[in-house]
Amino acid sequence: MRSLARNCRRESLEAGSRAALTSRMRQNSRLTGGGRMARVGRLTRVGRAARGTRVARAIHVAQLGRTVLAGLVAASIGVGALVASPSLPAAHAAIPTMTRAEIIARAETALGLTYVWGRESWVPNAGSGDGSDCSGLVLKCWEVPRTMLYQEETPANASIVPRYTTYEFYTCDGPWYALSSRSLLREGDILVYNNGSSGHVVIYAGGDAWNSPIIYEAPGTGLTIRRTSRYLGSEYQPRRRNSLQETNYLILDNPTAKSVGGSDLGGNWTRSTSASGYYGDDYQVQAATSATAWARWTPRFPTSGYYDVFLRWTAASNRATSAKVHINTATGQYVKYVNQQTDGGAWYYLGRYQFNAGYNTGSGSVTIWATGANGYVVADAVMLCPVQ
Amino acid sequence: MRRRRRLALGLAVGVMACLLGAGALALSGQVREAQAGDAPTVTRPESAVTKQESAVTRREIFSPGKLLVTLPWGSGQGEVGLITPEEGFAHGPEALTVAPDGRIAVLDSVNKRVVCLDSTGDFVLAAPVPLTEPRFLAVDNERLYVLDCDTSQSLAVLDWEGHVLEMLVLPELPDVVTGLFATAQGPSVEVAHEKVYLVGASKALTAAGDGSQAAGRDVEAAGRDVTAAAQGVPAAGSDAGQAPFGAVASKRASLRSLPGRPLDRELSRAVKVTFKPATGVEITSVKLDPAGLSATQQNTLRPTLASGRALEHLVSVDSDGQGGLVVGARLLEAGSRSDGRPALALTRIPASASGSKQGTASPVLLLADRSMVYVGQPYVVAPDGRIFQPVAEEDGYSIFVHEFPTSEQTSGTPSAEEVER
Repeated sequence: MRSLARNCRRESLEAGSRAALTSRMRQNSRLTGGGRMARVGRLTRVGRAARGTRVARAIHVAQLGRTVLAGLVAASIGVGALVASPSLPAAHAAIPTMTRAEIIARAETALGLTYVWGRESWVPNAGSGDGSDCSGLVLKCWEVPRTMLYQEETPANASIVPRYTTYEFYTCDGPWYALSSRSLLREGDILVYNNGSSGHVVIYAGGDAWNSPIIYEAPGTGLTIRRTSRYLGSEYQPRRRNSLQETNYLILDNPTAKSVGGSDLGGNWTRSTSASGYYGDDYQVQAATSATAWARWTPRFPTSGYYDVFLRWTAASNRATSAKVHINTATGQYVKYVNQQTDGGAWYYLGRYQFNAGYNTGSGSVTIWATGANGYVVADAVMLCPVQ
Repeated sequence: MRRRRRLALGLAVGVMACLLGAGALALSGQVREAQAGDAPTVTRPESAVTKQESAVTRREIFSPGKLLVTLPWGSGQGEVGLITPEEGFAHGPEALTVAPDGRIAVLDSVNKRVVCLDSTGDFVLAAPVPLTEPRFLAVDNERLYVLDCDTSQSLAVLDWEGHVLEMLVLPELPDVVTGLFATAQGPSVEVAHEKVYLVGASKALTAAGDGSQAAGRDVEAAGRDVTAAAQGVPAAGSDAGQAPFGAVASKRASLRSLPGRPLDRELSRAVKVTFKPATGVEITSVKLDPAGLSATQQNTLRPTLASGRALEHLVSVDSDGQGGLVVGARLLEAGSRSDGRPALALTRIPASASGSKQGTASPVLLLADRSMVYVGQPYVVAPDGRIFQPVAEEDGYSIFVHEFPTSEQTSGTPSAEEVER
């Protein structure tokens, strides 16, 4: 019921209620104006699970905190500038802030699925079955025109307003803009062409020095969604989404977590904004259960090496005091327990772990469990910082 | 008297300058007029030309190319497939390649076959390939190698009569495939423009795929796919002019690392290339020991490409067939199909210049981007140094051939399609 009400609210926003949009824009402005990023930059001192090495960790975390804080403050300035861009039409400004890592992580979940014309959603990490068409791939990865639930799966040609196609991507009729040169492309941007009668759009993932960039694409009927490389001629033009948080850290918000065992659409955990301190627009929460219930973030690691791993939640007295967290790494699975009654609204340091380049849910992910917990478990966001 | 003489001298210089200017104007007008009918106008982004660069005299030749053949769209004999969806990836044949003996092979991806032509462009046969999505093609005088890197990472080996000789399943590669080359020691695969691996057969896969012992998940899946495909693609061979093939057992391939992109079939030379718009291209030529596949000598070049023009991207670095290189780049202000302006600049670096760090180059060949849909790489350098350009046109898939001018040609008067700068 609750989720239904939330979905209805979302639909009303998408239907074009100007007042609602204005309100959301103001909210975005407040968040990017410092409030949100101040929260992003705050790091917890030391968690209960790490008390054995409190002193050494405290020094490390303090040093790391300065680094992360500096980086994120710089990033927040960039985001603010993007959101405040005066050239953006008002109706196009209200989209959630995303990181490039989130766009890429979302694209990875569609690999192997079959192209279906008119579809803009899929079951993540299914490996086979129905996927999206080329513009649908971008819609879900960019979260335009709405924050689509990660597991959300709607039928082909579902009523989505506005329904963006390659024409809108090409003509910049949406919350994105043209880059002056393809040499400016960064991962998560798109390359699009439309000649009036046909068009195609792909997500850029790197390597355009040879004019045959690495891309994610839903090529066409009968073909599967893939990460590939091909020569793209002059007709393909670069576009960039508004409201990007530019950072070298891999930050994945809760809409980019695959969650199971929840009561929301597709098994998602329930979205909430009740407790303060969340990253982004909301967080996900799940009551303790004996059934299988977990939320998992899987980034695509750009390089192999060590990463500092942080987790974030909102604290409350009804939360679990020892929620189980699995860190799946190149050297095996590590288990941590976190007390979610404290340290809310902060990046909680889980440790330094080794990961291989690429996308692998088994050896490159962070999972939090509600199964067997002793209270509500919150999945808000995860951050992985490469160790230089 | 002295003043008069100075005045006369000044007047003479002024008149001469005017005459020269008028001549230059007349010449440029002549060029534009001549090009209006045959070839698109060559534009010069003056803002991009620095003072230092403007002093460099280098001839640019806009090449319309010579039409070798047009293969009509379709699935019949001598035809190639075209897909143009309303929303999605519009494409025709995804690869074109030329053997050392001049024969031509076109990867007709839509119809899942290789169309073989003789050196004059006449149709010989169409060979079906047992792959779900054939993407890359490489050939020599004996073999054709076809790779499906998107659905199965499988490689089919065929002969020029269209027989499937071998099916290889590649191990899981570290990233996406960006190139395929034919060498005397077998095919080699380039990954993400960085790593190159020589492919060899190491172990036969059974019909069950032998997947339980495979090293990686993807390899297991690929093994099953390829085995099934090899036994179950009979329809394509039924068309007239197409060669039949039987079920061929798959083998798991092994990979050996190469120190660069191979330039010749003998594996005696390779290149490692980096490109940044701000700093240009850096090419490290590597002499190889073919036996051990190790580098024996390296030489780094930073050649000037298409002087005075801003480049956006590199396209390819290939052998010119005479010991030198052909470096292709896409222009920053590249023309589109509709305006016909040049989009690609190909620079030849002769073998004699390979010792020079600047890599003294011969005239630049300018090509237009004329294809209406994707047809793979915008051009291919044949083993003899000629440039083959595939173009998707309304009536079919055309192959145009371009040639760099010889030294005798470059010393003559510029033709209507040449621009002296």
